[in-house]
Amino acid sequence: MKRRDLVISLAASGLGIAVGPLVAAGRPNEELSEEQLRMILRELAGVDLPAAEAPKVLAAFTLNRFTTKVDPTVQPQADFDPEVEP
Amino acid sequence: MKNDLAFSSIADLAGAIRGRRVSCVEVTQTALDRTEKLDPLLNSYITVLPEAALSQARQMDAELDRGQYRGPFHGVPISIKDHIDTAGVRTTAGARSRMNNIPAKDSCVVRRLKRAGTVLIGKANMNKFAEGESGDNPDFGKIRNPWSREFSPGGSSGGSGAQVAAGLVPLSIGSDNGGSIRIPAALCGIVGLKPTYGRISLEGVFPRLYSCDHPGPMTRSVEDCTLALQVLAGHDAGDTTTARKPVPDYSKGLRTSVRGLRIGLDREYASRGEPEVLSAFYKATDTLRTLGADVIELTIPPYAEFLAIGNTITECEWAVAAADLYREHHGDLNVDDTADLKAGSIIPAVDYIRATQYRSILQREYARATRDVDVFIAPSYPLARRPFGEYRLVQGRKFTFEDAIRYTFPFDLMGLPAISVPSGFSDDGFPVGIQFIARAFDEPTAMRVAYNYEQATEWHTRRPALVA
Repeated sequence: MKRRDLVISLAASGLGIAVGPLVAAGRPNEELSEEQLRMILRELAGVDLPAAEAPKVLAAFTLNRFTTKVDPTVQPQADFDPEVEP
Repeated sequence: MKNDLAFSSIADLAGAIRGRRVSCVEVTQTALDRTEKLDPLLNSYITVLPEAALSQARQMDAELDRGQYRGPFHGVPISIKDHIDTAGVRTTAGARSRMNNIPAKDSCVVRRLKRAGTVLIGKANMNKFAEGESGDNPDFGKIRNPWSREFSPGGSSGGSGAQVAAGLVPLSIGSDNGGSIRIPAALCGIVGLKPTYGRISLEGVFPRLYSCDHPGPMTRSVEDCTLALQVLAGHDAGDTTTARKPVPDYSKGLRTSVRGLRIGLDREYASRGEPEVLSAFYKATDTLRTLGADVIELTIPPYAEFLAIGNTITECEWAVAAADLYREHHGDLNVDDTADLKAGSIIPAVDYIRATQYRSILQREYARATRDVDVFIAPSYPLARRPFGEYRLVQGRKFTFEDAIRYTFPFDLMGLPAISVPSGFSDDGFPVGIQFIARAFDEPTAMRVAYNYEQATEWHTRRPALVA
């Protein structure tokens, strides 16, 4: 699959990857199909998805996304620091 | 005499060795004899090093002959979780596929322990790749709890917990990214310290979760734990995440009373354990009040919020840490690890960044909630006994892995120091634990409260019948 087709497919699935105007999508991916998941894995991670693994990977992907809106002025910790001011 | 040696504190052993009342070889031979006798029942080691250990012990005795003494760990036998690099000794991370992984150099932790004069007895069995708290390794077998071989010692540092409880060694080095030191400490009736993130170097430790991995000591007493932390703590040029803060004298102030100290308790957060765990926990709060501490009720951020960011952070960091492993040995990962790795490798970067932003928010909210107390307390593990395989129902509902790490995982995510000590026993004789959690780099206060509590109780003096 061509990268452009992948981007369109990701947009359709609701994945908010950082590709121009598609950034805002970012909603949970209930509609992601097994075939879309297989394609994303192949393109982004370079790994295959055997059919038997698909339900677990999809479940893990859905469960472990963090889509909560966060104040964008909060500085992310590139280097984790356990010391904070209350 | 041999049992006395096996269950001696490190401070007592040090006195006996320095006073030449016992040789380093005798101490090491006792550890090896007990390992030969008991480890077939516990399966706590992946590798035992009898020749190397005796050779090291002879060297330590020779140094004493020349008047050289390295300090309280001179000639003290130890074990190391098998995902911490040891030069010339295979380091498997609990995976049979890594049986030929023989590191060329020691990890920072091992270098410091060697410099202190310890004698390495062997490498401890663990959950494969430090995943989970089952104590069940598919490649090297189930690790048995010395209090009952039918049950797990917990994990992932299960071999370390079993060895210290069984008197095979007085110190084992474990690691904790969701509770892997404190959970086996609780289930084995010993002391386990997860230090502040950055206090002990991760150099040469198999990476599982970059921002949550913490190596730390597992011992039979709080005092021994302070001695071990003294050796292990400090900046390491090989690990950029280690702090440059000075290392305090951890023994100083340990015995100072806790009178007037303020101890925080969140009843809702603490409420999800088995009745025996909660009963012991609330009795411990009574003991702390008797010692003169003020126990203050407060509310920390909900566990669900820690779990939400924790899931994303752990999934993404594991996907990076395990990428080579997957390429080289993908058949070696179990179905859950494989699913986590694949899911983690496609979770958008924006999710990970938002999760770390939200971690900052939770850190500040927790700091605000606990600003008026010196330490926060919680049970160490919700169950009084951890079966192999499926969990039992707890309070009438299905228990999950997320429930199992409820009391421990938030403090890995926030990088705060937390020490688990025994807080009682179930009716059928299983130990349970309580944690004392302090502010970042304030291990001294956590250990001071833990020490005072320990000394006011007798839980740490009990020994499993199997090994008595």
